[in-house]
Amino acid sequence: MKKVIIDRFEGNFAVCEDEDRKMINVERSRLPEGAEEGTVLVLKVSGEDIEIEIDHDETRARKMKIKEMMDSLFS
Amino acid sequence: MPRRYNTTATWMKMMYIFILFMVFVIARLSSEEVAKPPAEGNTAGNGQITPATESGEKVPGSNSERGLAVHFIDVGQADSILITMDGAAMLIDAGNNEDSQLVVDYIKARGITTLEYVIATHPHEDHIGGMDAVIKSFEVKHIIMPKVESNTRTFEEMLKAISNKGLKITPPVPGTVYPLGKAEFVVLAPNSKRYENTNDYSVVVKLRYGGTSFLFTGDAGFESENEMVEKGYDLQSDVLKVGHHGSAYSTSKKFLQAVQPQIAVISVGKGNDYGHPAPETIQKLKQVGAKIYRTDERGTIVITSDGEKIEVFAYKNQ
Repeated sequence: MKKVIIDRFEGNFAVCEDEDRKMINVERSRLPEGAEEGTVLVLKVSGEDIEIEIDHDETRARKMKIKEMMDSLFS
Repeated sequence: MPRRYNTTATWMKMMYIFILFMVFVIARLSSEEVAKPPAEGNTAGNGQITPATESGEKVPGSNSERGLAVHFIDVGQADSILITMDGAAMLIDAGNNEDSQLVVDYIKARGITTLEYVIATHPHEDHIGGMDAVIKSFEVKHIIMPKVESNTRTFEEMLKAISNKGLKITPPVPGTVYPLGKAEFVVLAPNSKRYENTNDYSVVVKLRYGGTSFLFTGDAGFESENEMVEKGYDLQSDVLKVGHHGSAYSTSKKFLQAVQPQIAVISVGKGNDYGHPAPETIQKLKQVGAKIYRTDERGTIVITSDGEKIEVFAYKNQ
């Protein structure tokens, strides 16, 4: 199991950041419904197969935390 | 009366003449080849008729030098631009995460300890990857970025680095002018509070020194470009940092008509997975007569200005 965050979309890929800030390309066609920039994805790899799910709770939690940090830094 | 031939002699003679003729023909052919005039036209990209010199000489724009130097650092499929002017320096974007050390080292190698301005055009990793490392490594006077968040650790680490330095973020307000030595830059975008596409939040600045100008557009797409044109901003610039690595969704005809660049720089990675730069973008740039320089072909591109004249240098190995 691996958790990644969608950073941006380029061409046919979602460019995602893993826990070590390494970037990986995930094909758009494999993304679950509702995946967008900032969405936290859970990748479950079993052999050849990759199952991708959205972690809604962590997506929300990260959004709130970063928004708070941002608000405190703007002059 | 039938003439009698010495067939062997005749054959030899004919062979001799034939060989002579062939030698003459071959000589003609090769001399024609040598005399062929060089190909005409703009050959940007094949290294023939461009003012760019190759490595082997000192990179201009070290901190002790006078005049303006704009360094489009080769960070592959990403952006990072260092600007030096009379001992002052600023940075626009900091490459991918994996470019952190490279960007920091490049700035240090120019003898720079302070960055007057750091601009994070927008929060995508190919523009802010090395930003936390840069903020930790140098004294930063002003950090300018749009008020749009990203959920990534990369973005979070940049905010932490800003916070730990006790810095506050300056939002980009179009029309604001900032000095950099004898040069200055003006903010031209973003012009809206909300955009569908994160790229359109990109901070766009125009740098002016004497009669020369440079336009840096981050990843701004058609929507932001249209706003800048409609607002009637003075977009005309000698050098254009082409938006979004030359993607098909930036660099509209209308925008290019307004900018009229002589030189277009594309910051792009060799054999990237995203099809950058788009053939139609290259086509549009050629149509307005811009000379194209690409980091995937030339490496780091340094453009200098003395306020009147612009010179281009390219360096494969930093």
